[in-house]
Amino acid sequence: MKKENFAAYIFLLPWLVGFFLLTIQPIVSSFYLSLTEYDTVSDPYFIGFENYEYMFVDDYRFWEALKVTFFFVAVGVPFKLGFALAIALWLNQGVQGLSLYRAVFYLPSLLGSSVAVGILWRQVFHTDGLVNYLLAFLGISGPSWLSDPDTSIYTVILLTIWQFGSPMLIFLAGLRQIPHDLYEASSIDGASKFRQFWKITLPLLAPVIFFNLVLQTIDAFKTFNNVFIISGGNGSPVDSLLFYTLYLYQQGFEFFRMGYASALAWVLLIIISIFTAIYFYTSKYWVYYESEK
Amino acid sequence: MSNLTRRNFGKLALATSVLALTGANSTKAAGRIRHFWWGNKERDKRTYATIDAFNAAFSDSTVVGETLGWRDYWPKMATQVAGKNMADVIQMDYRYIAEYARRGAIKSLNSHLDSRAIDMSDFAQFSFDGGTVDGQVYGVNIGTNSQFVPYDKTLLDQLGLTFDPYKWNWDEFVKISREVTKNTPDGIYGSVNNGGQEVWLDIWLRQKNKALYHENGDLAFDQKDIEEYWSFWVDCQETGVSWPATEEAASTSMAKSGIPTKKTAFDSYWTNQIVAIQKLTDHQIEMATIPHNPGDSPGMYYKCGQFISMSRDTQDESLSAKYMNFFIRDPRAVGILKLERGVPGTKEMRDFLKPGYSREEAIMVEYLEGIEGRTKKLPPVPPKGAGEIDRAFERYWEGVAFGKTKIASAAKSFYREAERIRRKQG
Repeated sequence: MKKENFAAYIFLLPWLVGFFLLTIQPIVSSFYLSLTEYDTVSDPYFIGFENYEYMFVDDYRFWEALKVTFFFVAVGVPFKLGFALAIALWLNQGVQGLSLYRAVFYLPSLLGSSVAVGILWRQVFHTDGLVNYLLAFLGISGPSWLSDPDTSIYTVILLTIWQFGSPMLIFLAGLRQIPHDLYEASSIDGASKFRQFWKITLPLLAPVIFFNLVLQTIDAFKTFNNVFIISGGNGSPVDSLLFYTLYLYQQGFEFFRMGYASALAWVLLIIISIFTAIYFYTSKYWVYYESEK
Repeated sequence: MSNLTRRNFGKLALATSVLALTGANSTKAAGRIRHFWWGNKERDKRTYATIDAFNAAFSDSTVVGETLGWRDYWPKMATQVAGKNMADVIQMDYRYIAEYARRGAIKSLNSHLDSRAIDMSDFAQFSFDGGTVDGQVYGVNIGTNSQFVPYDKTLLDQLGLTFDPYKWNWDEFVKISREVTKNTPDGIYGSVNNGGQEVWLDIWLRQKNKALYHENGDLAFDQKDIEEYWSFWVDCQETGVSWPATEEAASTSMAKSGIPTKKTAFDSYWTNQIVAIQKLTDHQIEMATIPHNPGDSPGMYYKCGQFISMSRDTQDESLSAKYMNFFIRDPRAVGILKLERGVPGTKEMRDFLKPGYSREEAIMVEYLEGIEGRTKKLPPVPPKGAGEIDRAFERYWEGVAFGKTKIASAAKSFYREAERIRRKQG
């Protein structure tokens, strides 16, 4: 028995080393750094909870970043999930060429948060970009999309909705799981399509919706790559794209305040944990698993 | 697989780790140094070719090149400083040199200058001023620059507009720009908008004998200056002198800037960038000073555009010095690098390059010589937090430009924030 354990640990070693050195160690260090002033050139200087105090009391851009991020999560996530569900329902009707559609719809989220997508969107929605070019054909003078502080955040939300592929696939798999006889039985009883959706599809899909909601919310809070590219790295114009992670990056890597950036990272971790906890706590009121009768 | 017993496995693991260790060591061996710079496609091509020339000339040593864009360069550098694995020779900017020097991340070069291992004996005084921190030289000037206004001569000729590029004043700038906007199709304007450009604010202040910062790092301007500066550019934006705020926000790179997109007649850049701007358009681009009132100094100054410095972590100090010297005064290097980083510090190399100048290189040198005697002294090294203040300046200006905030209140908030950033840096 012991010998086998030894072999197992040997095989686990690469992962364990990675886990402790590349995951646990940085997490612990980042907490320590969040209590220091650290500019990477000189040694960290311990200042207790001053970073946190400054963040909540003095730093109006921290609140600005929270506002932008919360707005993005609150609007982006429901729209993205709703859109993903609608497409999944449509594909589940038995559409011809399903696998092709599935692949095509999944493609954008496969590209996901790649830099290329950010650059592509910046080009397409540029003042002289493709979108405005096409609008001009219709005689419409398009807005400035990403370079106008009033429209920039909506353009980014559009981008996130466009990447609906992965929740859609999960929805589609969930829809496939719903036993067909439930629909047949309810049809015989004269239930309308809408009633079927409301009374059968949604409740039975609840675990999948829950899963998607948790993942997408966490993802949305962590949005970085695309907006980094789109806003030129600084949340411009007029801080309308100052996502939390972008602000964190700017503090750490542009202003060299690693201590403060670490503190920001911990606050983000706490915010995401609170959201996830709320979801899990409330889930017992709206998520039913078929296995629990 | 059968002969991989547990005992062998241990040996194998050991062997692999030893291999990994020696592998790591070999990158730090003497006779091999790393050169790290920020660049662009053209600069990277030339710098790699220079490194190849060095390696070919001195076969007993190896230089390895690493490069990133300006924006990614500094974060990477910061992590390398923290990780104590900086490249041996690094490119430095005036904004950061004092900070890196005072924290011991780069080495004083005085001993190498004394021994002429790095020979700066015929450099102009301002080259030393720029690279000197607390009496020690930390950076070798690898390209002299100044500010200028690129203008689209083809467009102005078409409209029959002329001015004296060395003596024009602010009124002329406004008048000509308005003419351009008026007499061209929609979407073409006189100038880009420099309301958020710290470089222009700096010059604006210096024309009034003020500055951005005092020697001790305190702010050398007041709220009123900012109000005046922004009022001017808001007027420009509203009266058809400059393009609107959305265009300014959309011009995130040189290729999307006013002159390369043919949307404006006037733009704003550093002199070494004339080569790149001209490459982006088929119109003829010429160089003018920053507008200034008659009798005043144009407010521009010669800047050591870039330095090379030796890092604290260098593995081979004498090789690094040899390479740096090669970089600034060996025809095999300068013949490749030419003026891409700015004008070389030594007259010898300028004379060597002169016969081969392209049109842009020739007008660049002509411009830099043309403003000689009318330039101001290099401003003091920007203090800690200057980068953050620059960003705040840009941000508050955007608020004003988009009509989100009033000039007076934005100027007040900006000034307060700038003071707070300075206080925080102590």
